[in-house]
Amino acid sequence: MNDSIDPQPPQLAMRFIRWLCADRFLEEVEGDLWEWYAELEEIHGKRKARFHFYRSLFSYLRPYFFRKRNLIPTIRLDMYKNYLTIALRYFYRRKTHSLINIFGLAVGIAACLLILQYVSYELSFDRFHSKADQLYRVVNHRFQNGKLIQKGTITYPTIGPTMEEEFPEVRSHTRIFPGGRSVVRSDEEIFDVEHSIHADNNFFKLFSYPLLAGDSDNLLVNDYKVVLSQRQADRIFGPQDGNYQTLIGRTIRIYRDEQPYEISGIMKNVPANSLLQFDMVISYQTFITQNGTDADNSWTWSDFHHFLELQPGTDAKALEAKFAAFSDRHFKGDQVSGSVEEFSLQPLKQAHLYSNFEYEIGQTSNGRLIWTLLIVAGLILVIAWLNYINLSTARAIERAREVGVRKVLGSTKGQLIQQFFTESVLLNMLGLGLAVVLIELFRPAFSTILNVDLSWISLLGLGNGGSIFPIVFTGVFLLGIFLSGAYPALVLSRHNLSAVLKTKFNSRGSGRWTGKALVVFQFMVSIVFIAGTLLVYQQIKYFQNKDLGINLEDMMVIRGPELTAWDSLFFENIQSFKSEMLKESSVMGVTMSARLPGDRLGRMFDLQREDASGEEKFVASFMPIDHEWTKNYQAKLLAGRYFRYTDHNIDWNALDKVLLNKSALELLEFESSEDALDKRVRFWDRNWQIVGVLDDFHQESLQVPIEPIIFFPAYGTFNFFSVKVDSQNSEKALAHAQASYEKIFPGNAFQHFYMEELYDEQYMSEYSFGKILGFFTFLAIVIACLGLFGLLSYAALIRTKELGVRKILGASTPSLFMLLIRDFARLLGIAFIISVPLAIYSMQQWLSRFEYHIDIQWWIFILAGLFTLLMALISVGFQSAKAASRNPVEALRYE
Amino acid sequence: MKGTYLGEFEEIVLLAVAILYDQAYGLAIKKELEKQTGRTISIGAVHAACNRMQDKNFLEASYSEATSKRGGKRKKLYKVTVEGQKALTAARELRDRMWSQVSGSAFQSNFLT
Repeated sequence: MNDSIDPQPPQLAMRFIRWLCADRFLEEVEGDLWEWYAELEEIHGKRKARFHFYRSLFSYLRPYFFRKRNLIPTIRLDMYKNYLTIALRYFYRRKTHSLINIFGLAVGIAACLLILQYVSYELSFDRFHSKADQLYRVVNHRFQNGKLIQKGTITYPTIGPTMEEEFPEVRSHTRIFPGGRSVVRSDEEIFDVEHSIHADNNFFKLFSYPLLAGDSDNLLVNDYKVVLSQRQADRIFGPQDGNYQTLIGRTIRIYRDEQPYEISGIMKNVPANSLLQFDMVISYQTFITQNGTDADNSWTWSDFHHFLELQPGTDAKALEAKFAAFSDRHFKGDQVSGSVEEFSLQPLKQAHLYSNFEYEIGQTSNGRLIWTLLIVAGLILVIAWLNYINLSTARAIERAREVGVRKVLGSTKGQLIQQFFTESVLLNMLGLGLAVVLIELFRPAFSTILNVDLSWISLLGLGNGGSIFPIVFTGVFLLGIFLSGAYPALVLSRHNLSAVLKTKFNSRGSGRWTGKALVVFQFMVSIVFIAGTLLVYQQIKYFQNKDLGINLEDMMVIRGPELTAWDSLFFENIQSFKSEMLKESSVMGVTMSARLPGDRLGRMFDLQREDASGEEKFVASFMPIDHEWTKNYQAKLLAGRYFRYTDHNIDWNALDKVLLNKSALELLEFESSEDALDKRVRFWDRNWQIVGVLDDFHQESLQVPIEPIIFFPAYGTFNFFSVKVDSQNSEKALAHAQASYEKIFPGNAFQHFYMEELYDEQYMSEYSFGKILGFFTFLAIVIACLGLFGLLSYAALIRTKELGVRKILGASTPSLFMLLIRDFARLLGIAFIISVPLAIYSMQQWLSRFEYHIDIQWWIFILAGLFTLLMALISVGFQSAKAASRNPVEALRYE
Repeated sequence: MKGTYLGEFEEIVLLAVAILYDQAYGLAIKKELEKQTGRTISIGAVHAACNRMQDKNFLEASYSEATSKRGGKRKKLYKVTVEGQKALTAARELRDRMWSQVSGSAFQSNFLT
C-alpha cells in the first residue's frame, strides 16, 4: 500500500462522484480526478487544492453523467395504481369508517382554517402604514394619592409638541382631537358623518392613508380645512367617476357653523384593518380658532390623542425611561393637573389588540381572545389528527392479513410504508377538499358572529403584510399530514409476518396505549369546552339579568336638536317638546341628558368637601342630567330630593346644586346620606350644594366597577332625549315622537334608537366569544364522538369472537354493553379528573376580566361530565346493539 | 439516434486528442486545452465531451494498465476515428469556404462609416 505517498482526494467528494455518475464513467473520471488532485495539492497546498477540487465537482452536474435512478419507474407507478385501487376498495368496504375518518379530519381542518382567517385579519391591523414600525401612541396614566385613577390615551395638547422638542428620538408627532359624529351641510342638505376627527398637518405624513386628490404636504395647515373620505365625498357631492380633483376648494358647513370649510383633500376610504376609523379630518387649527389657544398649549385640558414617529432604530423602552423626569418637569407632582401623570408608549401595531384604555377612539379587539382562539384552533386540529392516527392504527388489526400476504409475496417494508402512506395522503387530501367546502359553507355565519369580513385573502396575508402566519401554518399543516400519515404507515408495516399469518395478532400491543391517551385527551377537551361554554352563557345571562339600579326597558333615545341654537329659548323649546310628547298616552316620560347609560363619563380631578381640613383632592365622574332623568330611569333616591326645573340655569356659572351617588358619598367620607344633605362640595373652583343622594347604579357595563358620580342639572344641544314608552304601543309613540320633533325642531334630522340595544353593545365581544366557543365546543364534541365511535367499532370488531362466545353462553345485550363501556368509562373518569382543574383555571382567568361576575358552580362540571358520558354511551349503545344483534355463529366464523 | 453534428468545443477537444496522439486521456486533454486556449477548462466538461464523441463514433477508447497513482484506476485513452477525422475536415472546409466568400472590405467598412 503506497497510497500514503500520494495525496488522496477528499473521500466525501469521491463518494459523491460515485453516487452521482453512472458506472461506465467511473473508471475514467475517478482515475483522472485522483491524478489531478495529486497535482493540485502539490501546486496549491491542501486547502486550496480541496477548494478547486470541490468546485470542479459542479462540472459533473449534468444529466449526461447521472446514474439512472428509478425515481418513478414505470413498474412502481403500477404499484401506486394498485395502492390506490386497494385504498379505494378499502374505503368502499368500510364506508362508515372511512367517512368518519375523512369527515373528522375535514371538520378539524376547516375549524382551524376559519380561525386562522380571523386571527390573521386581527393581526394585520395597522401594518399597512409604511412607518408602522416607528409609530407609537402616547399613553397617559393618572395617579392620585398613589392610586391609578385613569388609564388612557387622552392627554394634554402640549405633550406631543413638547416631546418632539425635548427628545431627539422623536422625529415627528401628530395631535388628534376626536370629533365623533358630525352633521355636514351642503346646499341645505344634511349629511350625518359618523366618524370625524380633528388632526394637524402631520397626520397624513405619519399615517399612510392614501389620497385621491389634494396636496399631501399641505392638507391641514390652516383653519377651516377638511379632508373627506371617498365614500362621504360621493355621498355629499354625488359620484365623481374617479376624478376627485374638481372637489378640491369646494366648501361644506359643519353643524350650525356659518364659516365654510374648504375641502383640501379627498382620501381613499380608511381600510377596515385600521385602528383609527374616520370619514372626515378637520384641520386642528380650526379647533384652536374655535376654542382658543388652550387647545394648543394647555397643561390641564386632557382630551387629546398623540401619535409619535420615532427615529428609525430608536429603543422605545429607553425613551420611556426618560418620561418620569419629563412628567416631573412639566407637572410638578400633582400641582399642575391635580394628578400625577405617567407617560408611556404603545406601538401602533399593538394598539388594536392590546387596548384596555378608557376613552379609546380606535377600533379595538381583545388580544387574549385572539390567542385563545389560536390555541383552540390548534387543539381541534391536533384532536382531528390524533383521531385519524388512532383510527388508522386500529385499522392495522384488520389489515394484518393483507400485510402478511403482501410480505409473503415479497413486499419490502419500504413498499408497505409507501402503500399506507399513499392512503394517508389520499385521505388527508380528501379531508382538505371537504374542509374547503365546509369553510365556504360556514364562513358567512362565522363572519356575522365575529363582525368581520373573512376571506382567503386575509388568511394568505395578502395585502396585510403579515405573511409569517400562512408560512408557519403551511409548514405545520404539511408536517401534520406527514406525521399522521407516517405513523400508521409505520405501525401497519411493522407487523411480524408469522404472527400475522397465524392470525394471532395481538390487539393489546403498544398501539393501544396511544389509543387510550387519545380518548382521555378528547374527553378532556370536550369537558373543558362544554363546561367553559356553560360558564360563558351563565355570565352572559348574568349580564342581561342583573338589576342595574336603573331601568333601561322600553327606553327610546332620540338625538337632541343639533342644529337648534343654544340661546335663552332653548330650555323652553325642550320643555315644549316634552309636553308635546306627553300628549300621547303611550309616552310615559321624557328626559334629556348629555350622556346615556353605557357611556364612559368625563372625570373631574379636584373634588373636595368644602369642610375638608386637608388639601387632599379626589377624582369622580360627572354627569349632567335634567330634572326628570332620575325619575324616568327609576334611579333610587336614598336621601334628599331630585333636581327641580328651577335648578337649571342657562348661565353655566349660576349652577350650584349637585346630586351624589352612594360611591361618591363614601369617597367623601360622609357618615350617612342624611349627613351629606345641604353640605357643600368643591370642584372646578366653585362650591356646590348637595341636594340629594342616589343609590349606586351601573352607568357602565358589569365589566367595570361603579364609580363615584357627581350629577349636576344641565343639558344642551348635543344631548339625548330618553323617552320611556309603553311597550304595547311603541309604534304609535315613535310616530308621535317624530311628528313632535319635526314640529318643534324644524331643520333637524330625527334619529332614534333603543337604549337596551345600545347598552348591550358593551357586551358584544362577550356575546361573540360565547357564540364562537359554543360553535367550537360543538365541533370538538363532533370530532370526539367520531373518534370514539370509530374506536368502539374496533373494540367490538377485535372482540367479535369473544362476544360471540359470550352470547352463546347466554350473555344479555346489557352485559355486552357493560363489557364494551367499562374501559371507556375508566378513561372518561381520568379525563374528568384532569380537566376540572384546567377548566377552573381558565374560567377564573376569563371571569377576572369582569368587575361583577358569577361564581364558578360545581354543577357545570358534573353536567359537562355527564354530557360527555352520554355521548360515549350513545356510541357504545350503537355498537353493542350491533354486536348483540349479530348471529353468534357468524361471529365465530369470523376468523 | 445521436446526431453527428460537431460542436465547437467538441472540435477543439477532438483536435487536442489528435495532438496528444497516444497520450490522450481526460486530464491530459484538459491540460492541453488550457495550454492552447489560455482558459481554464473544467474537467467535467472534457469528460462529457469525450464520452459524447465516443457515443457519436468520433473517438474510440482503450484502457491502459492500472497504476497506483490513479487510485488503482486505468487511464482511458482516446483516439480519433476515421469518422472523427472526417468531421474535423468537414468543419475546417466549412470555415475555409466561408472565409473565402468574405470580401476584404467587409470588416473595414465598419471603421469607415
